[in-house]
Amino acid sequence: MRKSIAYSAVVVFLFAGLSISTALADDLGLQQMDVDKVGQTVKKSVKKAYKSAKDKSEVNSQIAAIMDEAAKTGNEQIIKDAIIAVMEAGGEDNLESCIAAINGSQANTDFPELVKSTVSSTKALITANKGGGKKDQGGGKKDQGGGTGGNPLDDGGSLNIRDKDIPGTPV
Amino acid sequence: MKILIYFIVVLSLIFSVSVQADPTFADLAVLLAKGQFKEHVLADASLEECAAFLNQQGVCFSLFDLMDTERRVTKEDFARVIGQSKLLFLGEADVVDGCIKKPDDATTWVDYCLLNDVGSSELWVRFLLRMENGSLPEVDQFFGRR
Repeated sequence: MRKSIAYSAVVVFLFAGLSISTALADDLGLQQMDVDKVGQTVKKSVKKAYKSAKDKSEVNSQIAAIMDEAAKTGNEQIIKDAIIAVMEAGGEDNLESCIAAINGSQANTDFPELVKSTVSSTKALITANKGGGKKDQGGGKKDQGGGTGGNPLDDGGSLNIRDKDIPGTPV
Repeated sequence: MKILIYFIVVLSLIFSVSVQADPTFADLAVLLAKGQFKEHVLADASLEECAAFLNQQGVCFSLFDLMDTERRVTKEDFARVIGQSKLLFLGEADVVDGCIKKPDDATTWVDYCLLNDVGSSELWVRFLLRMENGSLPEVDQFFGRR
């Protein structure tokens, strides 16, 4: 009888220990972290999740957990960097599912405006790789106006950056 | 010649201290793409298009830097993108993990620019002076400020 009670107690302790360590592993410690390190930490964690997870829903629940943790800090810079990191780690292929996971998280409930603007700007930067804006590719928005007026980095060849023989041409 | 370079460096340092500007990576990306790479980037290209073009060439702008309106460009950051552009034009760009690598013979990008007579200090001052007038329209538009 005593043996079986002792055995049960050991099993319960082991199970509890395992659960606690899993919970701790899921927590990235964003609250205590230096804000500058949040982005790289989240990015690394999400990339790892994509490599090890069996399906996208598993990754998405991890993303949601990270975003919940970021929301708990109440620090807008941490939330912003976490969003950028999640979306960058997911890349173009997983963009929409990443956004869905972010939108379904506590971060979106507590900071809707911040999440909306950060997601939209990050998405624009990630998807811009598809083209447009390049002279040799066509595309580009004609109604934008642009015009930087007096660009200090347009040296007109007076500074020694461009190849003088092939002006303006990346070799 | 050495005295002249020394004079320009000292002068640019004095200018850097006196100029009150908030140079961001987003502004730098637009100015660099539409300046040094104007033959390849449309005059009305957006910030995201400029950044995408530069990143494709290995002149790196991270999403974190571009999205952070508080993070300021340092002289070393500036020298890096100018140095990377120079290497690209020379056909000597060694791209590692998507970014043009700093040549081993220079400890910093500022050093690289000095050693190769790139004139990044002069450009840096011009950049700071331009930034005194505020952000570029492309950047304001991107962040929904206009």
